[in-house]
Amino acid sequence: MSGALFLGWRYLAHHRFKSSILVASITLMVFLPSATRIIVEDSANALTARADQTPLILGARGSELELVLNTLYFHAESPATVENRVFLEAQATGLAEFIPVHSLFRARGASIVGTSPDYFDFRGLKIAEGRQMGLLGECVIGANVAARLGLAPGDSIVSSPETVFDIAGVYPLKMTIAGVLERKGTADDDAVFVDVRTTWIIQGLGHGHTDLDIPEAGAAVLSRREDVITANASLKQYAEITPDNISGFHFHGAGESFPLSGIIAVPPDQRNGTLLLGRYQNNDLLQIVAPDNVLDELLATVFAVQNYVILGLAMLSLATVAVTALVFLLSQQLRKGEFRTLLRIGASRSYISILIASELVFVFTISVLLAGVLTLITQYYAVQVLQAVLTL
Amino acid sequence: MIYLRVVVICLTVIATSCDRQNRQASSETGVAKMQEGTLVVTSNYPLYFFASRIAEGVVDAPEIVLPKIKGDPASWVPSAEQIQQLQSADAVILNGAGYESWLSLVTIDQRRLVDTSGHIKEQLIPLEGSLVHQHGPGGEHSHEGTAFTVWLDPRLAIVQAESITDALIRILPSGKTGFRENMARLESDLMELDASLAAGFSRLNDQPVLFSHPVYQYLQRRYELNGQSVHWEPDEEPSTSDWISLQRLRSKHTASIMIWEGKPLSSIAERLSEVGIESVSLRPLANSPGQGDYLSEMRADAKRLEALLSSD
Amino acid sequence: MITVSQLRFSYANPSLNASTFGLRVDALDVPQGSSIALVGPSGSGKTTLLSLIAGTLRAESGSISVNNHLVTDFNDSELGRFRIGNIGQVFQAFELLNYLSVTENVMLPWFISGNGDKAAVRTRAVELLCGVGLHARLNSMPEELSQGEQQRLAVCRAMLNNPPVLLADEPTGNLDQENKQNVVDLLVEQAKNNNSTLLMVTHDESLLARFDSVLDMRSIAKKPEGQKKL
Repeated sequence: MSGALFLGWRYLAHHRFKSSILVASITLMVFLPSATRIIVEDSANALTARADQTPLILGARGSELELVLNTLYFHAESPATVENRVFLEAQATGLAEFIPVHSLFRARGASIVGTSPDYFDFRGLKIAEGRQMGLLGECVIGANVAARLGLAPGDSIVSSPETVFDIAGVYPLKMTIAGVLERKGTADDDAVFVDVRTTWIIQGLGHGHTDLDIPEAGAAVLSRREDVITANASLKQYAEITPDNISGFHFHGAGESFPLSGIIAVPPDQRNGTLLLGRYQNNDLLQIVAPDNVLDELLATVFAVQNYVILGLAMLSLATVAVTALVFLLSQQLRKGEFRTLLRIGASRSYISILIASELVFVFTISVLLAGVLTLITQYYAVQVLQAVLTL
Repeated sequence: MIYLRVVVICLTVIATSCDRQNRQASSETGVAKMQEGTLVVTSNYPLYFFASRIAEGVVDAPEIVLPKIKGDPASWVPSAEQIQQLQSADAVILNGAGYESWLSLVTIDQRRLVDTSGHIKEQLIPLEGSLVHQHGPGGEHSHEGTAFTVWLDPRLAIVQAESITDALIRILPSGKTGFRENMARLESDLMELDASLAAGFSRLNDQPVLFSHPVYQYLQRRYELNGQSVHWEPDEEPSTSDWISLQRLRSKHTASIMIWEGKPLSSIAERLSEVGIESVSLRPLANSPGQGDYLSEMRADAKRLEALLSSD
Repeated sequence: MITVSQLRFSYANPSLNASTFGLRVDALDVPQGSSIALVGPSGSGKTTLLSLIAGTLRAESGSISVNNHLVTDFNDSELGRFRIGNIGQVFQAFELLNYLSVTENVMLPWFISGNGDKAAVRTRAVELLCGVGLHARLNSMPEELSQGEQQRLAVCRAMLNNPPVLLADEPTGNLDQENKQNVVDLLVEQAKNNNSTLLMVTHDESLLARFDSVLDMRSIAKKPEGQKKL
């Protein structure tokens, strides 16, 4: 018996190309349906978990899905913005804890998320390396951003210019990395977190420049009348916030009008949540949504598609089984001479049967093991792949 | 040999994970909060003094901290370590009234902030003659706003101290009685200081005075002083144009006393004396005085002021 | 020792004329340890006789005794076991397994039977291979060997279990002259050293002198009657 298994194994090992194709076909046949199911289910769980953790999102009236995806996953498609005034007014109601989110810009492929320190407590984010951001212009980056770009505390990352030609618009800001967050397995791993005021600086609503009331600023001064100084276009604006120039940074205009892409609301109980929902229900300009409801609709579609995909894969599997059986049969035909030799030397017919069966057993065992390993890998990385796709 | 290599590798792995855990622990709890218990950080020396007096002797009271600030706390920009301390504090006691310009530059949980001027907003004094500038489409704007040396009016200082008391009670409800008792004693001391300053200033009888720097608005209002400010530093010789401006000012405002933030250079004091202006320092004590405490130094300054005014 | 008595065999193929393709041997005695060259024209039944002795073909009647074992009485599995332990075979087409190494090909009977200690069998295989000059090819694959080397390898496989009977069906048919002689010398030598009975089919007259005797199928095989005794 063991001799037959040994011969069977050696036969497979010697015919590597044929064996590999057989193994690959059967592995895929087993792995693809399970991988599909894992990706869809894990993705759905991850989506719903994050949505379940986020009770309510307040934002500008418009696409609910865009608002939810941008606030939860920092999706590149940003919804219409709301003014900071909405956040301040909401805070004043005392109905919930409100967390501002500004996710309109990107830095080297990662979303720049402007928010408040409350966000980190809310999401349970902890610093793995370095420290929390302190001064404006500092950032903390997610674990995946650090790994992907090879960044560490002390390094810097520059925001991506929105357009090369809009000179007076959004311009790149060099941000110093204060810390790197612990890996969380969520969209937060792929984000660059800054104080929301830093995102307003990136947006051009605030900036730093040399003091105009000193002699050295002479060339940048267009006019001076009584207590009013007007600067000209040669005024140099800082592209980086440092401890030396931070005193020169300031905002123009009323902070209340500055934009946010969404506001996370965490009511302490259902009563306050209901009050909040009622407060914004009939507002023409604002909407408040429960992310889990919005995503349930999306997931229903996804599950429907999954079933079609698995049906297609099942039919493909049938074809694969047929082809595999044909390959085995042809293989036995080709080995007739070998079997005759074995019989002549003294092997029994049952020995030959075991020899043939061992080829099948080895191929299927290896395929199933491989499929199992691939399934485990898929299970481990499915959520991260989905998040990467969602943040594109 | 192979066993030795295995041992070395294991030790390296263990050491690395211990180091990582230590760094993590340090990052999570903040650099300064290495001790057990709660922490309260103040943004200037008067607030630090008030908080320390209120917390004195109360069991399990928070540690009161004034960060090391070089120069005037009004222009302080905290370092990275100091920001971590602020972020990890259970409360950050602010003067308010725009005093903490660093607040707009720092990321900090708003819930930890205690604005001691929050209840007296209607009593804050707006600044005149703020420098305005304009560039780009944003329109004109200035970088000044409100006078912030609120504590120089002892009655307003009491209000600030009450805010501090409320904050300490929120952090340690069990210390309520001790905090309130200490507050009562502090209030009594501040009222005594108020009476002392009032007595001294009453000798002026509405005579004009000069202030070396525009930081005495609340003092001026409290004691109804007829004062005007120049922009002189006690340790810097005024320029010729400064003296000329002073002369021009004195033609309309015949002050014979100049109240300084700190002891002026003897050359300045002498030259002022030659033109009939006596110098006296009444320090705002925004930063730690180095010797004594807020009350002892304010009392000493008040005594010197009264002595000068009595001799006039 | 091989004893054949009243052996009758015909191919069970209805399309063939049984009277032309059958075999009848009334008596044949091959002494133990002798080397016999089996000659005769094509179709005289040389390969058939070897197959009947080995048990890979079944006689319709008569008896074949190999080393006092009546192989005609064995069932299939008994025949298989008997063959592995008692009959070494060398084929014209070598019939090596291309996915086993040289040493593993020699060990093939052990892979089939599983009898004995693997290490001891491997040692025996290596000894045999060294004895035929293949000491440098132990881990080579058969396709890397020359034809002469392959047939020497096949001889080693046949000798693995020290069989009392060696059957070789035109083992030199695919070899050049030099290798023919080398392989025949090897077979005869192995048989002599082991006191095995060697029965080898050949068409090559230049090789006959190496054998103890030559047996012409025409002298022992009758279609249908005949008896010959050595």
